[in-house]
Amino acid sequence: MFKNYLKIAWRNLMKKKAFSLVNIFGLATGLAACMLLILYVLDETSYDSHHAEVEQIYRVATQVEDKKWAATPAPLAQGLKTDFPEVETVTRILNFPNTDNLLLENTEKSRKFYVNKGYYADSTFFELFTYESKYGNLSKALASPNTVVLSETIATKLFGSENPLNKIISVEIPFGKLDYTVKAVFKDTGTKSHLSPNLLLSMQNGDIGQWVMSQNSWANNNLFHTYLKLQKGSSTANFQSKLPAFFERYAGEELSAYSIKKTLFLQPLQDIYLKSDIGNEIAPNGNMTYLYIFSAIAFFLLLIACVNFMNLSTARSEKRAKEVGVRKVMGANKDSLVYQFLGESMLLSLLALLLSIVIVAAVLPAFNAFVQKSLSLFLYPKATLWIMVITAMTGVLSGLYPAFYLSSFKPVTVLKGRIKNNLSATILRKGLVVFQFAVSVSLILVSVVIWKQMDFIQNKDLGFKKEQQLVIPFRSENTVKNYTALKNETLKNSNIVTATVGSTYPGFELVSDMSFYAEGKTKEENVYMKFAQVDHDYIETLEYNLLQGRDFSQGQDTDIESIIINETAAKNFGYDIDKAVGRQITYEFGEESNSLTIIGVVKDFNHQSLHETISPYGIVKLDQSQPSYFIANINGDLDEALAHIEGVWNTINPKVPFEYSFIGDDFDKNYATEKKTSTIVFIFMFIAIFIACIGLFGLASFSAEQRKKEVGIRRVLGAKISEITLMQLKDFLVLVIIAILVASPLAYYFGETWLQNFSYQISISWSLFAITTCATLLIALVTISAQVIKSATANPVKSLRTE
Amino acid sequence: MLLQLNNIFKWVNSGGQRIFLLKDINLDVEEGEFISVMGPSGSGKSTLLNVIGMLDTFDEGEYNFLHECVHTLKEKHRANLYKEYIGFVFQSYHLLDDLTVQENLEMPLLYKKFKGSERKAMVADMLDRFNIVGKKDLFPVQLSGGQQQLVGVARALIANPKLILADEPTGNLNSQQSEEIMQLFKKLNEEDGVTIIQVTHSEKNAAYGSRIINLLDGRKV
Repeated sequence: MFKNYLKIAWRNLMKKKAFSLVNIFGLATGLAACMLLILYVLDETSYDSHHAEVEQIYRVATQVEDKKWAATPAPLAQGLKTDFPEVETVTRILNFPNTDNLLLENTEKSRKFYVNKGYYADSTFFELFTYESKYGNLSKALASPNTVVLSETIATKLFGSENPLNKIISVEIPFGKLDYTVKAVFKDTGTKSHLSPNLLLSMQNGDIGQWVMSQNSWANNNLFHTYLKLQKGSSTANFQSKLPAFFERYAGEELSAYSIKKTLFLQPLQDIYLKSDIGNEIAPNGNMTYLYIFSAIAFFLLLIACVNFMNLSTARSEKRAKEVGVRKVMGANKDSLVYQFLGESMLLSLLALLLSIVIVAAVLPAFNAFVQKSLSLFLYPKATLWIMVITAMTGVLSGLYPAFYLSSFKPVTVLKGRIKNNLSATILRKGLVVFQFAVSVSLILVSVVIWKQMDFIQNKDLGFKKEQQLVIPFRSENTVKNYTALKNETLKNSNIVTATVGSTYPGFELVSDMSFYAEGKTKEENVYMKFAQVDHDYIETLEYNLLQGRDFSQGQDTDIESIIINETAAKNFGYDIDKAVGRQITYEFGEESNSLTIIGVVKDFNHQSLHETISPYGIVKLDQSQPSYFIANINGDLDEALAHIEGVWNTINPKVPFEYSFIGDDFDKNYATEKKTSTIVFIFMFIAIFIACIGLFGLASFSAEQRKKEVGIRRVLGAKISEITLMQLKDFLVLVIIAILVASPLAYYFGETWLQNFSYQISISWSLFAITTCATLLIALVTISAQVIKSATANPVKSLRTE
Repeated sequence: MLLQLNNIFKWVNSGGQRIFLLKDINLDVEEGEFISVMGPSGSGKSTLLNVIGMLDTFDEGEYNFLHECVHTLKEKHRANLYKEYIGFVFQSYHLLDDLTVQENLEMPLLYKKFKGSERKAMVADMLDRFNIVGKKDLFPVQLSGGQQQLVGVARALIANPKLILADEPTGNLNSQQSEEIMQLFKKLNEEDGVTIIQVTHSEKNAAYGSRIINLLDGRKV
């Protein structure tokens, strides 16, 4: 019996090769897209799940008004441990500013490279976070000074296959070059964490140990990421309720001196990667919203693929009607027919699954490169299971309707003549097509909105020169010292207009900020201002528009007590822009208060991505010894300039790898998530349209088949081919238009929601909808016209002939 | 007595009027009979055949088949009844295009839950009996109309039914092919004792039967 079904199914498939291929391919595309997204979503949701008793681990973060901050002051961790018996372990991680890249060196093998994600950590790090040791004892490794723990990847890069235990490596940071002993190596494969450290330095190390020990303020230097583990069985809510009193006890006095109200809150470790996006995150996190969006897209893609499959299957029902009749007369009951057709759709979905696995395997490398993950097909047993369940469900779901529809045919009627065109079935089929197109149109609209916005933000005038601005980070003490020489040599090339150095540049997250107040105002009326520390020529190099006053100049000592502010800052201080120069602003640091004189006002520029509005910004003179970024404004031949600078660099800073980037690229990195999302939305938009077109094609051929007789009669009675073609086209275009009407408000809503991420947005205009409507109608027209014309030009004698 | 129809009525409502498809039909069929049903188009021949074959229902009257009251049986029982005792032959053969001759013959046996080995034996026997062994792996489209109908008859017979219902079995065939099929029916009826009810337009074909029933406007005349 089963064999018979299989045979029939297979022969049916083979007989209509093109049709079957389209059907299977549509489903396979849906499944493949779904699989990729499932893999992605599972990967994103599996961060930090490898730690033992992870549900008891929390990060302590702080909140001032509505500003959340991921780090805390240094003494907090010890305070929590001392005051609360339910706190089992605490550990701190210090991601010291300007040490985002460390220069590692194995002098023995003369291997040298930069590495990121190197943190200072307390010795309890490995008590809280679970990592498997490759070499050495992890729990003791960070307990002594001048030690370092490496990830297996980094260890291999430094030492090859050699055991690096107790070997010395040198770590170069802007404060100096230090030698540390490798005390352990942990395995980093298969562990994903929001931290994902490459190396951990002991917090008692010579470079920083003294400074860390001296940190006893409960208000300043919120740089320490504090993690704690609660005892099993203790109540988190209870613990949380005791935090305000605890914090008040220790920090209350200090904070009220600064008139700041600050609270502590807990973030479950497993939620950090996906759900936390607050100030001073240790590394960029994922984004739950996008996961929801991707999951929704995956779901809808699969749904429209299923709908498609159903449509195409029922479209063929007329051809199968006779079979149903014969089988019924031969003694088949409804059940066995339902099983047969369900089986067929299962078989098809199984074939689609196989095809989709091939597709996924083929596109996975590209997908991996794109999302920067190393996903593999069977990485997650859960995913494999999910996909199997989904395939089975797809088979059942998409087979259900055809199965019941077909098996309900009355043998007498189907064997006698044509099956009657079932009204409800027709409405359902049309509804399904409307649904498919509504999804596609929504995706098209959202894509266009995204595309226009991305275009807008990339071409908006930011108030400074973004392109051809080379940035070289000074990551070590020597490079900072060699700055003047570097600048002088660099400028010898005519392609390089100006060069300077600064603590930051636009698009780069500023770490420095402070509160100032204007003349005649009090401490309470302060303006919170971010500021950059720069050398002279900075304004000129970045081509800021200086509205009033002057740039810092070489050799002018008073510049140390001067500041250049932006328009917004001037407004916030209550100074007129043309009268601001020469006025003073004051800041207090502890007991001391100091004043800076405004020497210039620059036109507002976007110092942050266009997600943010322009805030008060100040530019002050750089203290020579600070780590910073060398910036060169290039005008002319980029390659030549680059070659020149590299040559200069290698002469002045031998042994330090030449590393550079461009301000434009760095600035655009702020839109990485949006770019990624827009690409994904684009790709899936095309897939959705493709599948929807297959569906429309199916319906067109189905309807052509059904209206064969009608078309024949009309032709015999004198209708022109063009009239018949138009008549049939109209029917479909009405469906597409309904879909557009349904989709437009939805797309508008999603588009607007997405645009809320930006402070500078395009407006969604009606022309956008007009363009989309035309495009969709055109696509639909191309899809169905072949079928429609074929049916209109068919010989009426043939279609009217009865058996 | 194989089957008995008592005062069978079948109608449809059209525009508030009752249009009778079958009107007060009484018919007794003994085992071993060969009956031809004749009448003009729309006289109810096929409807009668479908009612006898239990593919169609009726609105009034009694129908006894092998001492079972068909009119009181549930759908499922009725299906089981015709599955076991009745074989159908159609004007346009209604073979499944996707199956070979052999597989077409096997199909009814699948629904009657015969074992694989049994099925094989029965199909082989039937191919042999109808002299179509050489065609067993061909698809219907590769056969002539007469050969297709031959397969159709073979399929109707394969599960050893007591009754064969044939709705214009020669309607799509030329005269020579018709002759062969009618000869086959006659032989089956005489040698194997299969009861046959056929619908036909042809006097010549009707003459093969032992009894002729004439219908006009749903009524026996």
